[in-house]
Amino acid sequence: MNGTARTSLRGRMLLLSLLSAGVALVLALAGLGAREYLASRGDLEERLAVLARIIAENGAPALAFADERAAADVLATLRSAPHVTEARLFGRDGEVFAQYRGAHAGSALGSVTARREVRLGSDRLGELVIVADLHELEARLAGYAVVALLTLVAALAASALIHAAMRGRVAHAEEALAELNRTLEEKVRSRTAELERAVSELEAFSYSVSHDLRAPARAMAGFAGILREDHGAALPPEALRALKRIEDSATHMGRLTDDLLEFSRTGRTPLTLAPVDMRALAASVAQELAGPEASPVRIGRVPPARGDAALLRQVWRNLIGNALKFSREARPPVIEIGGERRGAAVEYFVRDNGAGFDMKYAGKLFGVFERLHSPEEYEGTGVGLAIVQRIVQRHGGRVSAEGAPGQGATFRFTLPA
Amino acid sequence: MRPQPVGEYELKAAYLYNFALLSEWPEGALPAPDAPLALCVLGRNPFGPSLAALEVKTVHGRRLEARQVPTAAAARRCHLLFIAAPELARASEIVAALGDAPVLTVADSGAAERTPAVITLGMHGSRVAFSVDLGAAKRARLRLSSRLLRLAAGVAGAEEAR
Repeated sequence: MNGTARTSLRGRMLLLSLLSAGVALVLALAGLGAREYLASRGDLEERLAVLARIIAENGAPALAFADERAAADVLATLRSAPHVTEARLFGRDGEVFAQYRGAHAGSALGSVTARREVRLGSDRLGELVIVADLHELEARLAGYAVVALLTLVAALAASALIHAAMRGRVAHAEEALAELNRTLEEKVRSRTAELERAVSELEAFSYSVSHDLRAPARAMAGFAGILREDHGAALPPEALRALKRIEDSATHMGRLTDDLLEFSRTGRTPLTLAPVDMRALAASVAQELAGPEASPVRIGRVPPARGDAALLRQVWRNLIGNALKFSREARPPVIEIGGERRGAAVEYFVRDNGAGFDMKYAGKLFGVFERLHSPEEYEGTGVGLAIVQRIVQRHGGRVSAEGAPGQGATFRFTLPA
Repeated sequence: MRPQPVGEYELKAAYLYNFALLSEWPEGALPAPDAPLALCVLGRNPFGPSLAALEVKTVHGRRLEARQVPTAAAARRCHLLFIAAPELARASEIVAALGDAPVLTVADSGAAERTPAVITLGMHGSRVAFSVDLGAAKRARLRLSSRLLRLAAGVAGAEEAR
């Protein structure tokens, strides 16, 4: 939104709010004014009717005794009612018997008239007509109009003030929001850069740690082996057992550092993308791991993918290796491999009929060093599936697993076609 | 002054009716509601048929009945007594004979002189006028409407009536 558009929008909003407030107020005031007019007029008519009754009563004897002066005197008492402009007393014959003229000359709002028969006893003597102007009503309405106008002006001024106050606060909030938007992207960029730096530092660190730990681990395993072979006969069985444990631990540590290095390398080496024959790759890995004869591995339809062949080989190796490892108790073990296109991606699976796992641990499967089984049951470092996830994610794919204890497991991963 | 389109006694008959309308008789002095109010004339009737014409009208809810009475004693049962001009000489005597009887006496006096009657009818120039004696009214236990008094050419006996 640019400045002028915002200004004109605000102007229109102010106008609109003033207009709606003004219209509502004018309607309300007009309604009250009309009510005031009708009520006042009704009141005036009632008062005039009462006046006519009194004058007719007082004037009746004058008419009865044909006393014109007395009749005029009675009518003259109307002087105390300044709104009466005219009064006429008609005799029985319809002729004007007496009349009175007030000081006022009528008003723009017109006049009200009261008629009253003049009676004495059972005799109808004539008729009295009194006309009053609406000066009083005019003055009242004028007063009302002044009050209404002042109310209108005050209300609109108050409305404008409130609007201005609100507009100030809204403008302030708008500016703050725009400022926040401006800084937010910058913040995200700088935080991302910081995070990337931290991650790469961490990876470099873990790589160098793994690398540096490898040589001492090998040395320990090597020298423990030499000690056992050359001097094993001289050692008591207790010492031999301890020596065996040192050797095993050092060997395990060596594997751990190897795997960590591998894991680290998969995150650091740049991807070399090319079309990959996934079926040939899987078959080669299966033969390498299970041997050429009596292999439990059945390879179905496996579509090709686009990716880094060396890394994808690592994926097959880890998944097929896992399947072989966890299904070795099965009679007979069966491992199925396959895949199919799903839109722009290809989904592959490796299914075994081995130990399986509880689905509530499915989230932990792909974490580094996460193991669902003890090393005594199934050897391993807990890094293999983490490497699989990292490679697949670097290709822009996803990994998932399903299974049940004792009923085998199925691992799936997707790659771009 | 407008010319009188009606005869003097026709007008005076109407006045009698108006006097009755604007007067109040004491408690119990009026007849039963279905009995007439007696409008009497002492002496020769100067009204002609105008008096009988009043009989169609009502006063205080009672119809009027015109009567001719020969004596003051006979007039005690009247409610309104018209003393005709020829009887004026006897007016004091007649009023005295009525005593405190609630009779509205109206004397017909050609000149505007005072009479002992409650109301004296006279001519004011060419106009029929009347004067009122509040003392006489009090003696007869009658109350005259202030609206009547306002129209009277003269009001006497105010001190006495107080």
